[in-house]
Amino acid sequence: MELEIVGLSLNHTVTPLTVRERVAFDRPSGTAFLRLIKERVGAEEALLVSTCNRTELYAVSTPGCPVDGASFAGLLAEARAFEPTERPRNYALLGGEQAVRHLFRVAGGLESQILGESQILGQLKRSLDWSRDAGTSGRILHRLWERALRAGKRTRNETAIGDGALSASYAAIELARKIFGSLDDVRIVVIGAGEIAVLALESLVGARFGRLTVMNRTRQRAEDLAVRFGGSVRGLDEILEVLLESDLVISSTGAREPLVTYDMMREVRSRRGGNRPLLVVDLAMPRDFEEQCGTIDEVFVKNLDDLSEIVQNNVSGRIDEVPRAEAIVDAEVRNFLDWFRALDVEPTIRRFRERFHAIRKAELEQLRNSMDEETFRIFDRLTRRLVNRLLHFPSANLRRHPGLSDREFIAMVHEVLTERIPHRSEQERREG
Amino acid sequence: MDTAFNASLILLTAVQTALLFAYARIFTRGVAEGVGRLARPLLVGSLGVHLLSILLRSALIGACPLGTWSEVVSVVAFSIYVTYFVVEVRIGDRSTGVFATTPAYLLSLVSAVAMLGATDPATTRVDLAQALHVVAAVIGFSAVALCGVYGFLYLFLYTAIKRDQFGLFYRRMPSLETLSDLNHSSTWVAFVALTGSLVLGFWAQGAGETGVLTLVEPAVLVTLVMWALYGACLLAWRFLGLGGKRLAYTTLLGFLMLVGVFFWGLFRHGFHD
Repeated sequence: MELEIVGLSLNHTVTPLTVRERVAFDRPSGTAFLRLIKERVGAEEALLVSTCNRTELYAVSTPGCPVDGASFAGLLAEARAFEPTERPRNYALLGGEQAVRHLFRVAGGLESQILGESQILGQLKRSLDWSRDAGTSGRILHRLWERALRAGKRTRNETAIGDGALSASYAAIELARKIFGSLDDVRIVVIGAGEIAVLALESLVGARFGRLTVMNRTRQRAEDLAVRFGGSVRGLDEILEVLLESDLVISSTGAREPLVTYDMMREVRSRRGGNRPLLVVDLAMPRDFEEQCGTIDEVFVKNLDDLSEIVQNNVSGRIDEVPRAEAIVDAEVRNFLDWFRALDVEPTIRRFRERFHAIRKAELEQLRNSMDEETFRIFDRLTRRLVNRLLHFPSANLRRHPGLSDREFIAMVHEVLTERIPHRSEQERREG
Repeated sequence: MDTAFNASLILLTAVQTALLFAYARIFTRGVAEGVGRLARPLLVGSLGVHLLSILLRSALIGACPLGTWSEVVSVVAFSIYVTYFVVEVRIGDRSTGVFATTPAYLLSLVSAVAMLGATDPATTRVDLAQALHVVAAVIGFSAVALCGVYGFLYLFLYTAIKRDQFGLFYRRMPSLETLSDLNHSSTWVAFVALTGSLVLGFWAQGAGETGVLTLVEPAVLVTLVMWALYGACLLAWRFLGLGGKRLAYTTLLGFLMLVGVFFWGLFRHGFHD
């Protein structure tokens, strides 16, 4: 068994939600699970990623302590108290380059349910903290994580895979930003207090905006929402006055007739003056604003179908970016694997350098009595530098050699540089 | 000197072509990667080469290079690039670069071709008053060109949103508000510079340093109309809150007037009668 990165992945493409929700970890339980792995399997390096869409475990299998993903699956079932009949069977076992590539794709948002989403980067950073807490963080996985995060950042900085909103409510906010720029001084009115209104308001959480007004037929529900999201309440009978002082209107009432007719909107437009645009996001069914309202200058009226179009365009835009994001992931995977494979020849390099220096010292010792102490020190420095310089070239070449993926090549290099191969006559004498 | 000047024009055209390509790449890709990353160095490089070519021209003719139409056009192009450079640094957005620099690129190309073809450079001497007048006009016209670009982009994005065309253009453009602000800032520059140019022009005429100018001279008349138009825009923005679409239409009209003046000058081989 050689040095290898192995992994186990339970993710949204292979594992049902009922299983995924049972194998989700938080910091204390994740740390405890990593400690369990260290104790029971003996893995020195292990990292656990747990998000709403995936639970994944990565470890380093060494010649001294070979591990595999299947053993992690058994431990996972045990840790999460699965009955033998309900043990998770839908998971992916990852090994070698495949494990590395998978992690880099996860970091790049290419394996996410919402293509290109960036929350995963924070979640990967968090998982590094868990492994530090559990004492399972090591040189190899640390480097793997660092490179995966780098790949993730590059895909988002160098491609547009994370651009554009992918839900109707966020598309409405994106549209508002496209019209008003910053939302800092945008006056928002939410008409209706149902589920859609709540969703729309939740998408505004974290965004800074000018002022929020909630209007609803039932005043109490409007007040509840206003308290929850920090706004004021106005009655529906004041709709014209409110529209005069608004920039973004999100409407989702259950009214059977339009609340705002074309003529009402024309009046609003003429009384508003100036050129400040008015964006109406009409999420009601049937619509709260007459369709013709959208034909008025500087008034944008968008409904669910229009927002879906934004979302579809954003999805297409992200899909178009996939090949470029994959090229970045490929390059980063190659870089990491070059470094990782070079680890296999490190013992060989160390050993043959030791041999060369041992020969140097032995030869130098023979001259010790023929020179004074100062001259000896000069010779010692000179020969050490000479040997180091002579070995630098082959050492560097070895670390970069494309044959590092071939076990036989590494064994041969090791044998040639560090073992004493007997002369043919000596071999024949032994065999004879 | 002649060879050095011609070489600088060829180099300038090559750098500006690469710059345009880099900005186009940024617009289509949405991020500055690949050749797009070179946009800023190319912009700085093109400004350097452009300045060098203006200095070489100046040394070649032994006077301020504002005596012929092609020289003025070259300085206008340079001025647009400088104005855009300042705007890009200020707002940190390169997505409009391909649109903002295209007029400057075309102007620069036209003037380079004209100057490369001219074996015997014109040696119309320009005195200080004239030079100040021309420089102010050049800055004013450059700002008018930028206003036109931003006005056009505003109307294009406005229409795209109205018609639910949420494609590449929608995704890559800055907000309507930003485009309107950029238009407004450029309008200020245009108004101030045109005011300076008109005042200096009439002052120079009063001092008897130029030929006789009349208000009915087409180029002067159009410049006066543009000046009044831009002044009215600024007043409307300040007191009536009129910006956005109306400002875009007005500045686009100003830009069309500028194009008219440009072709007038090209046809007449000079700005004034």
